[in-house]
Amino acid sequence: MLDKLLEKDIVFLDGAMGTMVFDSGVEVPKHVEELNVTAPEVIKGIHKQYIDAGSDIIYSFTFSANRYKYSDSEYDVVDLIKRGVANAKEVAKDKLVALDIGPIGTLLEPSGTLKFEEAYEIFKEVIVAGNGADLVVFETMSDLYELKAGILAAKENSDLPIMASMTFEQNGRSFTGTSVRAFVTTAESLGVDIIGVNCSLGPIELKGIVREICDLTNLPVMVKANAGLPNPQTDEYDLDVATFLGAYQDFMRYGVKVVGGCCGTTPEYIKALHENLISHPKDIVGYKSTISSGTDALEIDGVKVIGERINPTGKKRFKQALLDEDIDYILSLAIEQVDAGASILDVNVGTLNIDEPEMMTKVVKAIQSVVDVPLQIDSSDLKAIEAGLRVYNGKPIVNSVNGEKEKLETILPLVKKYGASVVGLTIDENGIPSTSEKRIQIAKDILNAALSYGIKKEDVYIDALTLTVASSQDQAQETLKAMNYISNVMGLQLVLGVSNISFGLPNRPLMNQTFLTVAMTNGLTLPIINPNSKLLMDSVNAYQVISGKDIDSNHYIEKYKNEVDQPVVKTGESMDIFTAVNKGLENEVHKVVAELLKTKEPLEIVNEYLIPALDAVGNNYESGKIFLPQLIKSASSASAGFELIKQQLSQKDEVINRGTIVLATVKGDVHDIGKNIVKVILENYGFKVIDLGKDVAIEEVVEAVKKHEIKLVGLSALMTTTVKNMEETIKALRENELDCQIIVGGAVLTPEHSKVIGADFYARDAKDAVDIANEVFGYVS
Amino acid sequence: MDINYDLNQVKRYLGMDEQPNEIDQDIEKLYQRLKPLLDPKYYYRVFKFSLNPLKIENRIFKSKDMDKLLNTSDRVIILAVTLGGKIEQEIRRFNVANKFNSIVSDALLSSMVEDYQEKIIDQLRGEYPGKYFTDAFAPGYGDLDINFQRDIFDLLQLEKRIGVNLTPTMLMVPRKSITCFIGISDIAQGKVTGCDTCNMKETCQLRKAGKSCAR
Repeated sequence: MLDKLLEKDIVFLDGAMGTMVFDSGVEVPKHVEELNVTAPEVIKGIHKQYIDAGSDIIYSFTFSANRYKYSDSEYDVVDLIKRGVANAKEVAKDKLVALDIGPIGTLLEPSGTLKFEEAYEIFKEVIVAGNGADLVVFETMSDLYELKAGILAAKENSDLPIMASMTFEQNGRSFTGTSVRAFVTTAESLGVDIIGVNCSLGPIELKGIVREICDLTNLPVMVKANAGLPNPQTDEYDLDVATFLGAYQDFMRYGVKVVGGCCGTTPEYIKALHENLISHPKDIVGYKSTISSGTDALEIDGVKVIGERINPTGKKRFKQALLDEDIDYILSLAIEQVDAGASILDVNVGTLNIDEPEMMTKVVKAIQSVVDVPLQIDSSDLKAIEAGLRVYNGKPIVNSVNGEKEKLETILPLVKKYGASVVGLTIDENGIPSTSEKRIQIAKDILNAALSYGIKKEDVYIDALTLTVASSQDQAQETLKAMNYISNVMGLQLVLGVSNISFGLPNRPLMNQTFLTVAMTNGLTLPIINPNSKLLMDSVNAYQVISGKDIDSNHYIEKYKNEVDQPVVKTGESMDIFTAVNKGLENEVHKVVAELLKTKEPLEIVNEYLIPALDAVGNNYESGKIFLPQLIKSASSASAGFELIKQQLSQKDEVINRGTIVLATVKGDVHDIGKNIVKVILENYGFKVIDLGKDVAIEEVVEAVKKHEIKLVGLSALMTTTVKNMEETIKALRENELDCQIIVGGAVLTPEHSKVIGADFYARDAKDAVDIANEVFGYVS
Repeated sequence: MDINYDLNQVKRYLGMDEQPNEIDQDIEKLYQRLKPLLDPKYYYRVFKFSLNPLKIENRIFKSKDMDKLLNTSDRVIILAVTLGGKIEQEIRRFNVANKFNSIVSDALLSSMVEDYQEKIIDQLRGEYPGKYFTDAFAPGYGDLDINFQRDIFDLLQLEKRIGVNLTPTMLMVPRKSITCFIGISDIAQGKVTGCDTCNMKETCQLRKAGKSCAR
């Protein structure tokens, strides 16, 4: 029915419900949607006024009706939603009813505490209850991640068309930082039917944003603006009908098709739109190869580096981190690569003895909480790919499919469903073809298969694969020939892992750099490389100038202007470790430990150098000579030394472990600084910390203690409100009869209160926690 | 509006004394780094109310301290300020990559959001010549239950207005945000806030040392 309606030049929505309800004189309850049951005539009356004013689609009065917001309502929220849709349907007759869904009312992870999966369940309940409507509208969304949970819930639990509407500030960003382009790229890929903006600003302030949306998509665009901005004294909106209408006339010129009003608008505003707006045909927009994170879209309009470091293949230290669930190690690789200039990060967590889908879910969420670049989900495990796609915020790349029928048939539907781009490797059941022609043929087969699933050509990237020139010298030319054709004739983006070329040869960096340059000349836009390699990044930067993408060489000049003829400074004698740790000099500690490793065993360095140095700092702290920030500075510098030692040990399949400790900031609490400090200090003393993070569910703590047979658990809580959850967590650990002791800490706790809630120890600070750990594990401190 | 920090306050939050320290420069450097990431916003509404207990629109705030705070006022401002969501990611990065910055920025940003709140209050004060403002009082102070935060959010629709959200445990997100009540009165009122109304008074390390976190 929506399809037919969209054949009209202009589709009219309704105006504000809230404003009308408050002006109706009815007594407004705390949960306004209860009026669907207590005063249905009032609600139907308002719907009717909008239909009389010319609305083609009215929104059901269900904006905030969800189980999170209605937890303290005496009414059943499912029933309220059903009644809300029924009330609208009754009045609508031949007009359409949109099931209106607003934000849940609490923020999702990573900034908030609501899990993506919980958000999905909340939306699912609303959608199932409201399936009597003609379409679903998500509106006033300021979090793209929440919107994605909603869209998935709608797609998987109904056949209704979807209208997705976010709110933006004047700077073109939502409150959670999503740009207009990230929103359009992601929502369109996820398959919404109408896209647009509502609320937050008046129509005049929204002009730039509306124009941008129209310039980015061929989907029907909708606008539902407020009647200006609210007055803090009266909470009323200031824009009159004529001014409101004037702004909408501009929207029509940009190509907007679907119009209505948000806060402060009334049937009068809709009537004015209905009687006066004239439609303008919208320009057709060319589709671009674009991917996106939760905040920023990235158009592949030149060479963009994909960072390759998040991959355990051949890296013992990384494998150990995965086994230890040491997410911070992976995050530090993510941050480091983005700082080094990566535009996209490849994420591969496949190794033996881990649950890859579960790890992928965890890692994708964690990486997206610290960097803003899009990710490439890389796995040979279909379940891991889907797990990553599902919880990813934005539009990712999937790495990869190939010419094998089974791969195409299982992975491409996921790529389509979750709105991703996909890498196709030119390999099939018969291996990597030796000729360029056959590689091109596989590329064509992959493209055709993708098109048949409704994936756009611009979202298919081909990896023509390279072998080492050491063993197959003629293959380099075949790869390059295929790349040239796929880029220039087929017009597809090219991905390539560059470093294979040099395997088995001396001076690999030189070979890699040269091959990278030649590959870019042959159309490579997405090299998968180590962005910490200066040689490779230099080539990319130079190529951007030569290919004309770095306009006026601005980026190049900025990057290299200080590099001219820099004399090599000879570093002097290194410091002793006590001074370096005491002063908190990370680079110095790193240098000293590297030097020590040449002559001493790793564990000897820990026991005879690092720990005594830390003890000295700890004593200064306890005696009040230095303060907490200085202690942390020293501890962080010591960590740099430990990292080197861990790397060394992992080469020999050894680890340092003086005892394993689980740490968690309890459920409901996001204040994890204290816990993080305790972690760093414990690790410095050689304890292995399993850090469950913040806002940790009670079961998760119990689970971890069981799984790793933990003897010591540290819990933190900062708020009086969350100490209760600390008590519950302790209770759960005791009820499961787990043989572990519990340390607690946090600003509102006292030693006495810690006993009351059942803890074994109270730690005043991180140093105290180390002393307790030493005691529990039987070390003399 | 330029948002600043009070060096001594930051150091007190970090458990330090006021003596010059090498950390002072680190604090300033961090301030310069965080400043471009601020996205400060505020929203307020002015309400009529009745007392014993305090009632604003359809919400009741049972609190003797609030009755005392507002007993000479004729209207009440509910104000919310935030440093915005952009710094949240940087804070998370510090947690992973730089624990020192993590702890120092937490103290620093607390001082900054308080500075911002004071500046907005001063600005509002300018709009009420001849009137006096009471102390700013917030859920979690004295006997004003932290759960009243939910009512404040409903009255001001802060999610929609300035992008501040509440967790089920009444924490604000973005974290560096403050809400408060301020009475508008014809007569000046003595101080209501202070250690006596602070729910940390039993465990506060500063207080034990005979100091206070207030400026």
